[in-house]
Amino acid sequence: MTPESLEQIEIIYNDALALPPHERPAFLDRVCGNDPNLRAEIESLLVCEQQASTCLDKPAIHFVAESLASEGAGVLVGKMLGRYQLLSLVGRGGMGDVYCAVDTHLNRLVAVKILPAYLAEDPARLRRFTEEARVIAALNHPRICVLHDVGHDDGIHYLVFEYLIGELLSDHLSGRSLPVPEALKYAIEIAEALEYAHEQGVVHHDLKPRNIMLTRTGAKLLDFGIAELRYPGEAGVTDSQTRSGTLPYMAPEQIEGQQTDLRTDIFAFGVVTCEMITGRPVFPGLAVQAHMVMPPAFDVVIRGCLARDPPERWQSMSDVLLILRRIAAGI
Amino acid sequence: MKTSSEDITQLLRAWNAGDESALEKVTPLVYRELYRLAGHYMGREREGHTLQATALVNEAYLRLIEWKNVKWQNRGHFFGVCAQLMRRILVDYARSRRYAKRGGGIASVSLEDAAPAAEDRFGVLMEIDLALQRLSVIDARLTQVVELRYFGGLSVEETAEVLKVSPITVIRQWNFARAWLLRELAGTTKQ
Repeated sequence: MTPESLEQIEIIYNDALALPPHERPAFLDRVCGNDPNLRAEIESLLVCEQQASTCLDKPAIHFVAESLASEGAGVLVGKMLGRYQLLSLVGRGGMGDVYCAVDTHLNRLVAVKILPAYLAEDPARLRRFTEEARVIAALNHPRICVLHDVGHDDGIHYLVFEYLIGELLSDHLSGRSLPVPEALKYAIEIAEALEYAHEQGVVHHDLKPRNIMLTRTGAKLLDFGIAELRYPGEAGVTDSQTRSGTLPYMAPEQIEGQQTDLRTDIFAFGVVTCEMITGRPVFPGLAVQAHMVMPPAFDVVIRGCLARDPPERWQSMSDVLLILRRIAAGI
Repeated sequence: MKTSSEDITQLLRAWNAGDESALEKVTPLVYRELYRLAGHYMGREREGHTLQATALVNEAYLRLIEWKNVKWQNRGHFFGVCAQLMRRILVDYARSRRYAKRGGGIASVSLEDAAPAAEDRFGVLMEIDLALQRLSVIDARLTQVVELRYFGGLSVEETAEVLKVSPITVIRQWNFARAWLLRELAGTTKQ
Protein backbone atom coordinates (compact mmCIF):
# COMPACT_ATOMS: atom_id res chain seq x y z
CA MET A 1 0.00 0.00 0.00
CA THR A 2 1.31 3.41 -0.86
CA PRO A 3 1.28 6.32 1.59
CA GLU A 4 -1.02 8.17 -0.83
CA SER A 5 -3.68 5.49 -0.77
CA LEU A 6 -3.35 5.23 2.99
CA GLU A 7 -4.00 8.94 3.27
CA GLN A 8 -7.02 8.59 1.07
CA ILE A 9 -8.33 5.80 3.27
CA GLU A 10 -7.66 7.91 6.34
CA ILE A 11 -9.75 10.77 4.96
CA ILE A 12 -12.69 8.59 4.00
CA TYR A 13 -12.48 6.70 7.26
CA ASN A 14 -12.65 9.87 9.34
CA ASP A 15 -15.47 11.31 7.27
CA ALA A 16 -17.43 8.09 7.74
CA LEU A 17 -16.63 8.07 11.44
CA ALA A 18 -18.08 11.54 11.81
CA LEU A 19 -21.44 10.28 10.56
CA PRO A 20 -24.02 8.44 12.64
CA PRO A 21 -23.58 4.69 11.99
CA HIS A 22 -26.81 4.36 10.01
CA GLU A 23 -25.69 6.96 7.50
CA ARG A 24 -22.33 5.34 6.85
CA PRO A 25 -23.39 2.71 4.29
CA ALA A 26 -24.94 5.34 2.00
CA PHE A 27 -21.87 7.52 2.38
CA LEU A 28 -19.58 4.62 1.50
CA ASP A 29 -21.78 3.77 -1.50
CA ARG A 30 -21.20 7.27 -2.73
CA VAL A 31 -17.50 7.60 -2.01
CA CYS A 32 -16.21 4.12 -2.74
CA GLY A 33 -18.61 3.54 -5.62
CA ASN A 34 -16.85 1.09 -7.86
CA ASP A 35 -14.00 0.14 -5.55
CA PRO A 36 -15.06 -2.81 -3.40
CA ASN A 37 -11.55 -3.16 -1.93
CA LEU A 38 -11.56 0.37 -0.67
CA ARG A 39 -14.96 -0.09 0.86
CA ALA A 40 -13.98 -3.34 2.56
CA GLU A 41 -10.89 -1.62 3.91
CA ILE A 42 -12.91 1.23 5.44
CA GLU A 43 -15.56 -1.09 6.82
CA SER A 44 -13.01 -3.33 8.49
CA LEU A 45 -11.56 -0.27 10.22
CA LEU A 46 -14.95 0.98 11.33
CA VAL A 47 -15.68 -2.38 12.91
CA CYS A 48 -12.51 -2.09 15.01
CA GLU A 49 -13.48 1.37 16.10
CA GLN A 50 -16.72 0.09 17.63
CA GLN A 51 -15.00 -1.95 20.31
CA ALA A 52 -16.10 -0.57 23.66
CA SER A 53 -12.75 -0.69 25.34
CA THR A 54 -9.40 -1.40 23.85
CA CYS A 55 -5.77 -1.64 24.78
CA LEU A 56 -5.16 1.74 23.16
CA ASP A 57 -7.57 3.76 25.27
CA LYS A 58 -4.99 4.85 27.80
CA PRO A 59 -1.31 5.57 27.46
CA ALA A 60 0.86 2.47 27.33
CA ILE A 61 2.27 2.96 30.81
CA HIS A 62 -1.25 2.73 32.25
CA PHE A 63 -1.84 -0.41 30.28
CA VAL A 64 1.33 -1.99 31.68
CA ALA A 65 0.58 -0.73 35.21
CA GLU A 66 -2.89 -2.27 35.06
CA SER A 67 -1.39 -5.53 33.88
CA LEU A 68 0.99 -5.50 36.82
CA ALA A 69 -1.85 -4.71 39.17
CA SER A 70 -4.04 -7.47 37.82
CA GLU A 71 -1.15 -9.88 38.14
CA GLY A 72 -0.87 -9.02 41.81
CA ALA A 73 2.57 -9.16 43.23
CA GLY A 74 1.88 -10.18 46.80
CA VAL A 75 3.15 -6.79 47.83
CA LEU A 76 0.88 -6.55 50.82
CA VAL A 77 2.61 -9.23 52.91
CA GLY A 78 3.16 -7.92 56.42
CA LYS A 79 0.61 -5.17 56.09
CA MET A 80 -2.16 -4.56 58.64
CA LEU A 81 -5.61 -4.16 57.15
CA GLY A 82 -7.95 -3.24 59.94
CA ARG A 83 -7.33 -5.89 62.56
CA TYR A 84 -5.93 -8.40 60.07
CA GLN A 85 -2.24 -8.85 59.51
CA LEU A 86 -1.43 -10.34 56.12
CA LEU A 87 1.02 -13.21 56.38
CA SER A 88 1.43 -14.69 52.93
CA LEU A 89 -0.03 -14.67 49.47
CA VAL A 90 -1.89 -17.92 48.94
CA GLY A 91 -3.76 -17.23 45.74
CA ARG A 92 -3.97 -14.77 42.97
CA GLY A 93 -6.38 -14.30 40.18
CA GLY A 94 -8.50 -12.02 38.14
CA MET A 95 -10.67 -11.20 41.07
CA GLY A 96 -7.90 -10.15 43.41
CA ASP A 97 -5.21 -11.63 45.59
CA VAL A 98 -5.97 -13.87 48.52
CA TYR A 99 -3.77 -13.69 51.58
CA CYS A 100 -3.48 -15.91 54.58
CA ALA A 101 -3.81 -13.51 57.49
CA VAL A 102 -4.15 -13.48 61.22
CA ASP A 103 -7.11 -11.89 62.94
CA THR A 104 -5.26 -10.07 65.70
CA HIS A 105 -8.39 -9.72 67.85
CA LEU A 106 -9.42 -13.33 67.85
CA ASN A 107 -5.95 -14.70 67.14
CA ARG A 108 -7.02 -17.06 64.40
CA LEU A 109 -6.11 -17.54 60.77
CA VAL A 110 -8.37 -16.10 58.12
CA ALA A 111 -8.25 -15.71 54.35
CA VAL A 112 -8.30 -12.08 53.22
CA LYS A 113 -9.36 -11.42 49.68
CA ILE A 114 -8.36 -8.05 48.28
CA LEU A 115 -10.94 -6.48 46.03
CA PRO A 116 -9.56 -5.08 42.81
CA ALA A 117 -9.32 -1.32 42.40
CA TYR A 118 -11.82 -1.12 39.56
CA LEU A 119 -14.44 -2.27 42.02
CA ALA A 120 -13.36 0.05 44.79
CA GLU A 121 -13.61 2.93 42.35
CA ASP A 122 -17.21 2.21 41.41
CA PRO A 123 -19.42 3.40 44.31
CA ALA A 124 -22.63 1.88 42.95
CA ARG A 125 -21.09 -1.53 42.51
CA LEU A 126 -19.36 -1.31 45.84
CA ARG A 127 -22.63 -0.51 47.60
CA ARG A 128 -24.41 -3.35 45.84
CA PHE A 129 -21.62 -5.65 46.83
CA THR A 130 -21.66 -4.57 50.46
CA GLU A 131 -25.39 -5.25 50.64
CA GLU A 132 -24.88 -8.65 49.11
CA ALA A 133 -22.00 -9.37 51.48
CA ARG A 134 -24.39 -8.98 54.42
CA VAL A 135 -26.62 -11.67 52.96
CA ILE A 136 -23.67 -13.95 52.29
CA ALA A 137 -22.27 -13.39 55.77
CA ALA A 138 -25.56 -14.66 57.16
CA LEU A 139 -25.01 -18.05 55.51
CA ASN A 140 -24.11 -20.51 58.18
CA HIS A 141 -23.53 -24.01 56.90
CA PRO A 142 -20.70 -26.51 57.37
CA ARG A 143 -20.35 -26.85 53.58
CA ILE A 144 -20.01 -23.14 52.88
CA CYS A 145 -16.87 -21.13 53.50
CA VAL A 146 -17.87 -18.49 56.03
CA LEU A 147 -17.59 -14.81 55.20
CA HIS A 148 -16.48 -13.22 58.47
CA ASP A 149 -16.04 -9.61 57.60
CA VAL A 150 -15.97 -6.93 54.94
CA GLY A 151 -13.85 -3.86 55.37
CA HIS A 152 -11.67 -1.19 53.93
CA ASP A 153 -8.49 0.35 55.16
CA ASP A 154 -5.84 2.48 53.54
CA GLY A 155 -7.84 2.60 50.34
CA ILE A 156 -8.07 -1.19 50.09
CA HIS A 157 -11.38 -3.01 50.15
CA TYR A 158 -11.27 -6.58 51.35
CA LEU A 159 -13.28 -9.61 52.34
CA VAL A 160 -12.38 -11.86 55.25
CA PHE A 161 -13.20 -15.53 54.91
CA GLU A 162 -12.80 -18.61 57.02
CA TYR A 163 -9.32 -20.04 56.42
CA LEU A 164 -9.57 -23.46 54.82
CA ILE A 165 -6.88 -26.04 54.35
CA GLY A 166 -7.45 -28.39 51.50
CA GLU A 167 -7.32 -28.89 47.78
CA LEU A 168 -9.47 -27.27 45.15
CA LEU A 169 -11.69 -29.66 43.25
CA SER A 170 -10.19 -28.28 40.03
CA ASP A 171 -6.69 -29.30 41.15
CA HIS A 172 -7.97 -32.63 42.42
CA LEU A 173 -9.59 -33.37 39.09
CA SER A 174 -7.10 -31.83 36.66
CA GLY A 175 -8.67 -33.61 33.72
CA ARG A 176 -9.25 -36.97 35.39
CA SER A 177 -12.49 -38.50 36.56
CA LEU A 178 -13.12 -39.58 40.13
CA PRO A 179 -14.21 -43.01 41.31
CA VAL A 180 -17.99 -43.03 41.41
CA PRO A 181 -18.35 -43.30 45.22
CA GLU A 182 -16.00 -40.32 45.72
CA ALA A 183 -17.78 -38.23 43.07
CA LEU A 184 -21.11 -39.09 44.63
CA LYS A 185 -19.91 -38.08 48.09
CA TYR A 186 -18.76 -34.68 46.87
CA ALA A 187 -21.86 -34.19 44.74
CA ILE A 188 -24.03 -34.75 47.79
CA GLU A 189 -21.98 -32.35 49.87
CA ILE A 190 -22.10 -29.64 47.21
CA ALA A 191 -25.83 -30.21 46.79
CA GLU A 192 -26.34 -29.83 50.54
CA ALA A 193 -24.59 -26.47 50.49
CA LEU A 194 -26.63 -25.26 47.52
CA GLU A 195 -29.88 -26.52 48.98
CA TYR A 196 -29.21 -24.54 52.15
CA ALA A 197 -28.15 -21.37 50.32
CA HIS A 198 -31.15 -21.52 48.02
CA GLU A 199 -33.43 -21.84 51.03
CA GLN A 200 -31.86 -18.60 52.28
CA GLY A 201 -32.50 -17.00 48.91
CA VAL A 202 -28.84 -16.89 47.87
CA VAL A 203 -27.72 -18.08 44.45
CA HIS A 204 -24.04 -18.85 43.92
CA HIS A 205 -23.88 -17.78 40.25
CA ASP A 206 -20.37 -19.08 39.69
CA LEU A 207 -20.26 -22.67 40.85
CA LYS A 208 -17.23 -24.44 39.36
CA PRO A 209 -14.45 -26.77 40.51
CA ARG A 210 -12.23 -23.76 41.31
CA ASN A 211 -14.81 -22.61 43.82
CA ILE A 212 -15.04 -25.92 45.62
CA MET A 213 -12.46 -26.72 48.28
CA LEU A 214 -12.00 -30.32 49.40
CA THR A 215 -11.12 -30.23 53.07
CA ARG A 216 -10.56 -32.93 55.64
CA THR A 217 -14.24 -32.68 56.53
CA GLY A 218 -15.47 -32.74 52.94
CA ALA A 219 -16.34 -30.26 50.20
CA LYS A 220 -16.89 -26.58 50.95
CA LEU A 221 -18.14 -23.92 48.57
CA LEU A 222 -16.18 -20.69 48.16
CA ASP A 223 -17.06 -17.30 46.78
CA PHE A 224 -20.80 -17.40 47.21
CA GLY A 225 -22.62 -14.74 45.24
CA ILE A 226 -19.57 -12.70 44.44
CA ALA A 227 -19.25 -13.78 40.83
CA GLU A 228 -20.27 -10.35 39.72
CA LEU A 229 -17.14 -8.85 41.19
CA ARG A 230 -15.08 -10.34 38.45
CA TYR A 231 -13.31 -7.92 36.20
CA PRO A 232 -15.70 -7.05 33.38
CA GLY A 233 -15.01 -9.18 30.37
CA GLU A 234 -12.41 -11.29 32.09
CA ALA A 235 -12.46 -15.06 32.29
CA GLY A 236 -16.13 -15.23 31.60
CA VAL A 237 -19.01 -13.63 29.94
CA THR A 238 -20.54 -10.50 31.32
CA ASP A 239 -24.13 -9.58 30.72
CA SER A 240 -25.82 -6.24 30.83
CA GLN A 241 -26.14 -6.37 34.60
CA THR A 242 -22.42 -7.09 34.87
CA ARG A 243 -23.22 -10.44 36.32
CA SER A 244 -20.76 -13.01 35.17
CA GLY A 245 -19.83 -16.60 35.51
CA THR A 246 -17.31 -18.93 33.97
CA LEU A 247 -17.69 -20.95 30.84
CA PRO A 248 -18.49 -23.81 30.53
CA TYR A 249 -20.27 -23.79 33.88
CA MET A 250 -22.64 -20.98 32.96
CA ALA A 251 -26.23 -21.82 32.24
CA PRO A 252 -27.66 -20.74 28.87
CA GLU A 253 -29.77 -18.02 30.48
CA GLN A 254 -26.65 -16.64 32.16
CA ILE A 255 -24.73 -16.55 28.91
CA GLU A 256 -27.62 -14.84 27.20
CA GLY A 257 -27.97 -12.25 29.94
CA GLN A 258 -31.47 -13.43 30.87
CA GLN A 259 -32.94 -13.61 34.31
CA THR A 260 -31.07 -16.09 36.50
CA ASP A 261 -32.23 -17.92 39.59
CA LEU A 262 -31.42 -20.98 41.65
CA ARG A 263 -31.87 -23.13 38.57
CA THR A 264 -28.78 -21.42 37.16
CA ASP A 265 -26.84 -23.06 39.99
CA ILE A 266 -28.56 -26.36 39.25
CA PHE A 267 -27.20 -26.21 35.72
CA ALA A 268 -23.68 -25.50 36.99
CA PHE A 269 -24.04 -28.30 39.49
CA GLY A 270 -24.84 -30.64 36.61
CA VAL A 271 -21.72 -29.57 34.74
CA VAL A 272 -19.50 -30.00 37.81
CA THR A 273 -20.96 -33.41 38.61
CA CYS A 274 -20.54 -34.49 35.02
CA GLU A 275 -16.91 -33.37 35.21
CA MET A 276 -16.30 -35.38 38.37
CA ILE A 277 -17.77 -38.52 36.82
CA THR A 278 -16.40 -38.26 33.30
CA GLY A 279 -13.32 -36.07 33.75
CA ARG A 280 -14.63 -33.30 31.55
CA PRO A 281 -17.37 -30.71 31.72
CA VAL A 282 -20.14 -30.55 29.17
CA PHE A 283 -20.43 -27.35 27.26
CA PRO A 284 -23.68 -25.44 27.63
CA GLY A 285 -26.03 -25.88 24.74
CA LEU A 286 -24.54 -29.21 23.76
CA ALA A 287 -26.20 -32.42 24.74
CA VAL A 288 -24.28 -34.74 27.01
CA GLN A 289 -22.01 -36.37 24.49
CA ALA A 290 -22.43 -40.02 23.69
CA HIS A 291 -18.84 -40.82 24.62
CA MET A 292 -19.42 -39.56 28.14
CA VAL A 293 -20.23 -42.84 29.74
CA MET A 294 -22.03 -42.44 33.01
CA PRO A 295 -23.71 -44.83 35.36
CA PRO A 296 -27.40 -44.74 34.30
CA ALA A 297 -28.59 -43.30 37.61
CA PHE A 298 -26.19 -40.37 37.30
CA ASP A 299 -27.19 -39.89 33.73
CA VAL A 300 -30.74 -39.09 34.85
CA VAL A 301 -29.57 -36.64 37.50
CA ILE A 302 -27.14 -34.83 35.25
CA ARG A 303 -29.42 -34.59 32.24
CA GLY A 304 -32.08 -33.19 34.54
CA CYS A 305 -29.66 -30.45 35.57
CA LEU A 306 -28.45 -29.62 32.09
CA ALA A 307 -31.71 -28.96 30.28
CA ARG A 308 -31.44 -25.84 28.22
CA ASP A 309 -34.56 -24.20 29.59
CA PRO A 310 -34.81 -23.69 33.35
CA PRO A 311 -38.39 -25.06 33.55
CA GLU A 312 -37.12 -28.33 32.04
CA ARG A 313 -34.52 -28.80 34.79
CA TRP A 314 -34.83 -30.13 38.28
CA GLN A 315 -36.58 -27.33 40.09
CA SER A 316 -34.80 -27.53 43.40
CA MET A 317 -31.60 -28.85 44.88
CA SER A 318 -33.75 -30.79 47.37
CA ASP A 319 -34.99 -32.94 44.49
CA VAL A 320 -31.47 -33.48 43.23
CA LEU A 321 -30.26 -34.31 46.71
CA LEU A 322 -33.04 -36.83 47.16
CA ILE A 323 -32.02 -38.75 44.06
CA LEU A 324 -28.31 -38.57 44.88
CA ARG A 325 -28.96 -39.99 48.33
CA ARG A 326 -31.01 -42.75 46.80
CA ILE A 327 -28.16 -43.60 44.47
CA ALA A 328 -25.77 -43.56 47.40
CA ALA A 329 -27.99 -45.94 49.33
CA GLY A 330 -28.00 -48.31 46.39
CA ILE A 331 -24.24 -48.45 45.92
CA MET B 1 17.70 12.96 41.86
CA LYS B 2 19.77 15.73 40.38
CA THR B 3 20.10 15.68 36.70
CA SER B 4 20.72 18.88 34.89
CA SER B 5 18.89 19.77 31.76
CA GLU B 6 22.11 19.54 29.79
CA ASP B 7 22.63 16.02 31.05
CA ILE B 8 19.17 14.98 29.99
CA THR B 9 19.47 16.63 26.64
CA GLN B 10 22.79 14.96 26.11
CA LEU B 11 21.44 11.67 27.29
CA LEU B 12 18.58 11.84 24.88
CA ARG B 13 20.81 12.90 22.04
CA ALA B 14 23.23 10.15 22.84
CA TRP B 15 20.48 7.60 22.94
CA ASN B 16 19.13 8.86 19.68
CA ALA B 17 22.59 8.35 18.25
CA GLY B 18 22.68 4.77 19.40
CA ASP B 19 24.15 5.06 22.91
CA GLU B 20 22.25 2.60 25.09
CA SER B 21 23.41 4.09 28.39
CA ALA B 22 20.69 6.72 28.18
CA LEU B 23 18.19 3.93 28.32
CA GLU B 24 19.72 2.60 31.50
CA LYS B 25 19.52 5.97 33.15
CA VAL B 26 15.96 6.76 32.26
CA THR B 27 14.55 3.29 32.82
CA PRO B 28 14.42 3.49 36.64
CA LEU B 29 12.37 6.68 36.39
CA VAL B 30 9.87 5.03 34.15
CA TYR B 31 9.74 2.00 36.43
CA ARG B 32 9.10 4.17 39.45
CA GLU B 33 6.18 5.75 37.68
CA LEU B 34 4.99 2.38 36.50
CA TYR B 35 4.88 0.95 40.02
CA ARG B 36 3.21 4.06 41.34
CA LEU B 37 0.45 3.62 38.76
CA ALA B 38 0.24 -0.11 39.42
CA GLY B 39 -0.21 0.73 43.09
CA HIS B 40 -3.06 2.97 42.15
CA TYR B 41 -4.72 0.27 40.11
CA MET B 42 -4.35 -2.14 42.97
CA GLY B 43 -6.26 0.31 45.10
CA ARG B 44 -3.33 1.07 47.34
CA GLU B 45 -3.20 4.76 46.71
CA ARG B 46 -5.39 7.11 48.62
CA GLU B 47 -7.79 9.36 46.84
CA GLY B 48 -6.29 12.63 45.87
CA HIS B 49 -3.67 11.08 43.66
CA THR B 50 -5.99 11.35 40.77
CA LEU B 51 -5.14 9.24 37.86
CA GLN B 52 -5.28 11.04 34.61
CA ALA B 53 -4.00 10.19 31.23
CA THR B 54 -1.36 12.81 31.83
CA ALA B 55 1.61 13.36 29.67
CA LEU B 56 4.06 10.91 31.02
CA VAL B 57 6.83 12.84 29.42
CA ASN B 58 5.92 15.64 31.75
CA GLU B 59 5.66 13.39 34.75
CA ALA B 60 8.69 11.24 34.37
CA TYR B 61 11.17 13.39 32.53
CA LEU B 62 10.34 16.97 33.14
CA ARG B 63 10.27 16.33 36.82
CA LEU B 64 14.00 15.85 36.48
CA ILE B 65 14.96 18.82 34.48
CA GLU B 66 14.39 22.44 35.13
CA TRP B 67 11.85 22.52 32.41
CA LYS B 68 10.91 26.13 32.82
CA ASN B 69 14.48 27.31 32.61
CA VAL B 70 15.15 25.51 29.42
CA LYS B 71 14.42 26.86 26.04
CA TRP B 72 14.39 23.84 23.84
CA GLN B 73 15.68 24.48 20.41
CA ASN B 74 13.60 21.71 19.13
CA ARG B 75 10.83 20.85 21.51
CA GLY B 76 9.16 18.52 19.07
CA HIS B 77 12.32 16.54 18.65
CA PHE B 78 12.74 16.27 22.38
CA PHE B 79 9.24 14.90 22.89
CA GLY B 80 9.64 12.58 19.97
CA VAL B 81 12.78 11.06 21.44
CA CYS B 82 11.17 10.77 24.87
CA ALA B 83 8.21 8.91 23.42
CA GLN B 84 10.49 6.53 21.53
CA LEU B 85 12.46 5.92 24.68
CA MET B 86 9.26 5.24 26.54
CA ARG B 87 8.13 2.83 23.89
CA ARG B 88 11.38 0.94 24.07
CA ILE B 89 11.38 0.75 27.89
CA LEU B 90 7.76 -0.36 28.19
CA VAL B 91 7.97 -2.94 25.45
CA ASP B 92 11.20 -4.34 26.91
CA TYR B 93 9.57 -4.43 30.29
CA ALA B 94 6.53 -6.28 28.99
CA ARG B 95 8.79 -8.76 27.23
CA SER B 96 10.93 -9.48 30.28
CA ARG B 97 7.84 -9.77 32.45
CA ARG B 98 6.39 -12.28 30.10
CA TYR B 99 9.50 -14.43 30.02
CA ALA B 100 9.87 -14.22 33.77
CA LYS B 101 6.35 -15.49 34.19
CA ARG B 102 6.94 -18.39 31.90
CA GLY B 103 10.28 -19.46 33.24
CA GLY B 104 10.03 -18.38 36.82
CA GLY B 105 8.41 -20.90 39.10
CA ILE B 106 6.28 -18.84 41.38
CA ALA B 107 4.68 -21.37 43.65
CA SER B 108 1.24 -20.27 44.56
CA VAL B 109 -1.83 -22.11 45.59
CA SER B 110 -4.41 -21.07 43.09
CA LEU B 111 -7.54 -20.18 44.97
CA GLU B 112 -9.22 -19.08 41.82
CA ASP B 113 -8.65 -18.44 38.19
CA ALA B 114 -4.98 -18.18 37.48
CA ALA B 115 -4.22 -14.95 35.74
CA PRO B 116 -3.58 -15.59 32.09
CA ALA B 117 -5.05 -12.16 31.56
CA ALA B 118 -1.94 -10.38 32.78
CA GLU B 119 0.41 -12.41 30.65
CA ASP B 120 -1.75 -11.84 27.63
CA ARG B 121 -1.74 -8.12 28.30
CA PHE B 122 2.04 -7.96 28.28
CA GLY B 123 1.88 -9.90 25.05
CA VAL B 124 -0.59 -7.39 23.69
CA LEU B 125 1.87 -4.56 24.24
CA MET B 126 4.47 -6.48 22.24
CA GLU B 127 1.92 -6.99 19.48
CA ILE B 128 1.16 -3.29 19.46
CA ASP B 129 4.86 -2.57 19.08
CA LEU B 130 5.13 -4.97 16.15
CA ALA B 131 2.02 -3.57 14.50
CA LEU B 132 3.47 -0.10 14.90
CA GLN B 133 6.65 -1.25 13.19
CA ARG B 134 4.53 -2.40 10.27
CA LEU B 135 2.69 0.91 10.23
CA SER B 136 5.95 2.84 10.20
CA VAL B 137 6.88 1.18 6.94
CA ILE B 138 3.84 2.62 5.21
CA ASP B 139 3.27 5.86 7.11
CA ALA B 140 5.76 7.60 9.35
CA ARG B 141 3.50 10.42 10.46
CA LEU B 142 0.82 8.10 11.82
CA THR B 143 3.52 6.21 13.67
CA GLN B 144 4.69 9.44 15.22
CA VAL B 145 1.21 10.33 16.41
CA VAL B 146 0.85 6.91 18.04
CA GLU B 147 4.26 7.16 19.67
CA LEU B 148 3.53 10.58 21.12
CA ARG B 149 -0.02 9.81 22.20
CA TYR B 150 0.21 6.19 23.27
CA PHE B 151 3.78 5.78 24.44
CA GLY B 152 4.56 9.37 25.32
CA GLY B 153 1.16 9.93 26.87
CA LEU B 154 0.76 13.34 25.28
CA SER B 155 -2.68 14.89 24.93
CA VAL B 156 -4.15 15.81 21.57
CA GLU B 157 -3.18 19.44 22.07
CA GLU B 158 0.37 18.60 23.12
CA THR B 159 0.78 16.26 20.20
CA ALA B 160 -0.52 18.95 17.87
CA GLU B 161 1.98 21.41 19.28
CA VAL B 162 4.87 19.01 18.90
CA LEU B 163 3.98 18.07 15.36
CA LYS B 164 2.99 21.59 14.43
CA VAL B 165 -0.38 20.57 13.07
CA SER B 166 -3.92 21.34 14.19
CA PRO B 167 -5.58 19.32 16.98
CA ILE B 168 -8.22 18.21 14.48
CA THR B 169 -5.50 16.69 12.34
CA VAL B 170 -4.10 14.86 15.34
CA ILE B 171 -7.55 13.53 16.23
CA ARG B 172 -8.13 12.29 12.70
CA GLN B 173 -4.72 10.70 12.45
CA TRP B 174 -5.05 9.12 15.88
CA ASN B 175 -8.55 7.77 15.13
CA PHE B 176 -7.30 6.20 11.98
CA ALA B 177 -4.06 4.83 13.39
CA ARG B 178 -5.94 3.41 16.34
CA ALA B 179 -8.44 1.57 14.17
CA TRP B 180 -5.61 0.39 11.92
CA LEU B 181 -3.66 -1.00 14.87
CA LEU B 182 -6.73 -2.63 16.40
CA ARG B 183 -7.40 -4.36 13.12
CA GLU B 184 -3.80 -5.58 13.00
CA LEU B 185 -4.10 -6.87 16.56
CA ALA B 186 -7.36 -8.66 15.79
CA GLY B 187 -5.62 -10.26 12.83
CA THR B 188 -2.71 -11.56 14.88
CA THR B 189 -4.75 -12.90 17.75
CA LYS B 190 -7.25 -14.74 15.59
CA GLN B 191 -4.66 -16.83 13.87
